[in-house]
Amino acid sequence: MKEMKWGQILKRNKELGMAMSGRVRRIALLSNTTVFQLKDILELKLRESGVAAEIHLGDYDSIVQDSERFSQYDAVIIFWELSNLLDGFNFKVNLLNHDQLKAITEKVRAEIQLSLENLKNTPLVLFNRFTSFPYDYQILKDSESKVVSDQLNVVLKTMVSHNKLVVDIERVIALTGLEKAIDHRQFQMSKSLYTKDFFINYAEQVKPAFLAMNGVVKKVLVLDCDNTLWGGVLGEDGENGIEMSDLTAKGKCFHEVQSLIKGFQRKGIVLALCSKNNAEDVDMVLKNHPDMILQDTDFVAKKVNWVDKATNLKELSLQLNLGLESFVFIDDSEFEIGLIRRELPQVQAILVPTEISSYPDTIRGLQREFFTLSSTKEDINKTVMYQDEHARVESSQNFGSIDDYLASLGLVLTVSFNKEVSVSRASQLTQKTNQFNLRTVRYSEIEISEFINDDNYLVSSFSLSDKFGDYGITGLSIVKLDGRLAFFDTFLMSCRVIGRNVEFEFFDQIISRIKQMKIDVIKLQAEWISTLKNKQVSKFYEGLGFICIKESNASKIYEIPMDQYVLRDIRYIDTLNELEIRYDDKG
Amino acid sequence: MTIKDKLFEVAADVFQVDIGEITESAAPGTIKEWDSLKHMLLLMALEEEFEFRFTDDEMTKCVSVTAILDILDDKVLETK
Repeated sequence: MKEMKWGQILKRNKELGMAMSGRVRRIALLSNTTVFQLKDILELKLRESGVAAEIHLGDYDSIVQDSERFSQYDAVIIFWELSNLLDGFNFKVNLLNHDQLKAITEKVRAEIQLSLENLKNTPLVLFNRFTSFPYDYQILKDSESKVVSDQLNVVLKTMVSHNKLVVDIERVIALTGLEKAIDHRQFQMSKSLYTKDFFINYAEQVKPAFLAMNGVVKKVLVLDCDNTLWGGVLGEDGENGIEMSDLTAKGKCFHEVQSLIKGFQRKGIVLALCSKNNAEDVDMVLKNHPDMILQDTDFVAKKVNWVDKATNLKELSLQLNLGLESFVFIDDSEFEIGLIRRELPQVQAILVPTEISSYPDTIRGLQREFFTLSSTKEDINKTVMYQDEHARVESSQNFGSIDDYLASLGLVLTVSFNKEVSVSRASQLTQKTNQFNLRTVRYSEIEISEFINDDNYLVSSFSLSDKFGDYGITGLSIVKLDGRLAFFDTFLMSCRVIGRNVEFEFFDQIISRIKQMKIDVIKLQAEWISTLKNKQVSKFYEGLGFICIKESNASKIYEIPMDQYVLRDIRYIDTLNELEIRYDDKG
Repeated sequence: MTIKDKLFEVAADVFQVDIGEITESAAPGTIKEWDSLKHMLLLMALEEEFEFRFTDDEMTKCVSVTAILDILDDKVLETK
């Protein structure tokens, strides 16, 4: 549509409008500025995709009143522009004092709530996120507009639900390019802020919500194997020759693609295979190949045979009892893609790009095809996380000292030792933690298991919660017990829990545990190894009273006699360990 | 196609009326589809079609087909 001129858009839209069939979807477009240009663009975009869309424009700057008037419609789109919160807000904002800004923000907040209350039974509401992009000309300091916009967005975030969507309009502006998205001349003359290019991108980006409303949703992802799930041809290169390892240049792309597809599977997308290969060979790879992210059990159905792929897809559709129009098919062969496009045009057939580095991006783009209006557990969790974070920020504002604040959080630290430690999470923490990580040694799950089963190591982890929510397992320590010496091989913490002093409590717990183990440890030793990202912990051991005994550019080695280590005993952190919890459960 | 023909065609597309309804004397008062929003769209469509930009002054002068045609004649010759 990008190449179409206005005349063509209007003409084509009119033609499609007369030929529309199926249930008419009435969509209201509400705004405090002029956005009528979106009507024809979005109607055309939706009608081309089979949605019998009919867009009605609300009155200029009457969102609250219109939200009542259009509440019975199938969908409502809201363009609530910051630049016109009140007439001339985009320049008046610089002259308003704090109280005035606060009053305006409050007023709009109340109006948003009222509007959404009016729209509570509307099947689909799209609310654009507030943005100060068009008027911010520097990035080093937030403008007054940005502050207001951020505050209003907090209000919006907590209102998101499966059918009340907040649209990231800044992404649409970015896709279009700021200069090409905003028309200041038209805004001056007619309060029309956005260009045709912007509206075309906007329509494209919001289209999935309307397709989903119309029941047009992709649910099944059918994948070829060779050069689609992995690099290379299994029949020729053999099990050891195919590439999907994170360690090779080509393999990396397939590793990423598999991880993305695994993510789709977790969100409920049905995965199936359709490959011309020997079934036993593919099964061997699925079950045994160490580099496979996708496992045999991730695939609901497999068509690994020498039958043509159109026949295979039809059979899959019957077998899964899902229509072919809900299928996406990916293959690296132009022949196979061509065949499916010709024989089964209702299937979306995607060719693996020849530039393999762009393959992950192609897969990422599928997220829009798989968009649904039902909420997943993750979506719900995300909303809960936002709400928790909101509560956390709110309550951090009312305390005299940081200790008062931390004390008010109700921090609960649960420490686990050795066999109680989750091997996969422990390994993941060593792989992913960069900032609060004293030595940054990465360990595989197998290595972590070995430490746990070795009496000469003490592996400890912690999980943390507070009155606002649970952070999960976020800290790990591995101590090597070598006779009279205990060496801190690993000590790390996820950046999500930095700033709460839990590292000190965790350290105390480890020291107490070593003492309890009745091992004749008389000296603690530790090391900080410098990396690009862990400067913030370069003085961590000094803070615990350790003495630096050897220093180079890249590392510092520390010691302290066991009996000189002073427990911090932080009062505001409640500590449990797994054994105590189990005991309590029984009691 | 002359500038005039093109202008008539764009105007007919924008107002979604038969091209016969567009005459040199046509103006917002004579064609009922020619409201303020459609007017704005017409100007944008013309800028796009003829690849130029109206100045602020010219925009305020665009009050009828004849007036627009006068401006287009000057503009389009200028850019050629």
